[in-house]
Amino acid sequence: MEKEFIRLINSYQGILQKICNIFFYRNPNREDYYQEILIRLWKSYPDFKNQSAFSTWLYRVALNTTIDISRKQRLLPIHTELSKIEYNISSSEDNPESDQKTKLYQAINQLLDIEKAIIFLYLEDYSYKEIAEIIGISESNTGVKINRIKSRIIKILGNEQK
Amino acid sequence: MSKNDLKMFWQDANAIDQGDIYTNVDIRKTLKMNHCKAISKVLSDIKLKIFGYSLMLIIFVCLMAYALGYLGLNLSKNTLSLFAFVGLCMVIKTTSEIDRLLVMTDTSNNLSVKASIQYFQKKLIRVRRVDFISSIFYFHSFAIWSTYNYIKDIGGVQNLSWGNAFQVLLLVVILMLLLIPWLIKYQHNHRYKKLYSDLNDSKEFLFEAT
Repeated sequence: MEKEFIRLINSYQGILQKICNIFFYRNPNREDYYQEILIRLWKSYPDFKNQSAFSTWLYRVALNTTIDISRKQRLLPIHTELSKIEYNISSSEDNPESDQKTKLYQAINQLLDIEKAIIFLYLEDYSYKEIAEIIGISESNTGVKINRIKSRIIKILGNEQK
Repeated sequence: MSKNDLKMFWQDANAIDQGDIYTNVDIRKTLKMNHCKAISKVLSDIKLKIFGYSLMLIIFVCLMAYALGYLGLNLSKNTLSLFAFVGLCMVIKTTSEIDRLLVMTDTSNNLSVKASIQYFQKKLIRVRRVDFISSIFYFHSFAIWSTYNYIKDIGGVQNLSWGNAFQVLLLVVILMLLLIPWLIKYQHNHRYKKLYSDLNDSKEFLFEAT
């Protein structure tokens, strides 16, 4: 079972790393949290009963874990403040090549965790149906939420450009 | 930039080298761990506190049992009340740390994100309710016991006097005891304020009419 799990994880590694980057952008513990996601996926793997696609299950567990870690970070105020300070300092030192990435990640970073999860799935080209299944809302509601989040991101990016 | 450009923007942004920090992660080794280092540290700090408070509480209870039971010391009611109050404070401190551990550990990975948010909020509210009810039980029983004993000592309610400084002080202490459960509730709300506000924002976002 472990071999099979590692094989699957290796093929979805890029997605897990993107989730970590989006939720824990420039966080010094990002690598650690990536490990935590792997641990939770492994612990939940016996409950995966092929009722949904593996990727859908993986997204669900990974997003629940990242949101859970984010919550725990909120219980540690000093740590959170430090990472925010660090975030601002390093963003000003960025090279122009990654400026585009920085702006987008900064904009997404201002969203609620649940908004981050929805927009991430949308940006990763998931269908409304799949997003609805992972998040647990209706398909039509998903469309409305995505539109709202997109407007917010555009607004944040617009404000930053001004 | 328009809304439709966002996906393209995202793909371009991710095409830039990630400066991969994850290559050092050994998946096989990671799977043998219970938690990552950062989370483990937080959890072991809380467990250490629980252990410390519990140990103090056990020592305190043993000393009291030894003094009152084995040595048969005849302590005054005021001294006994003070000791009982110290013991209750330790109980509250221990339960508060156990609550924190419960909040930090229980997870619901396989649920949908929305159901997981609801599950966590319910758990947080349950922890607050259990704390509130148990503290009402502890402190209100203690207040009733103190009041009963004091009134018995001075020979009934008719002998209570506002002019007696000790009686006024005792009244203040009893009122404080009665208020402690609400203080604990306030402490819980204050400690988890950020969590509650985040959960409420998320729920509001998910449940608002489309």
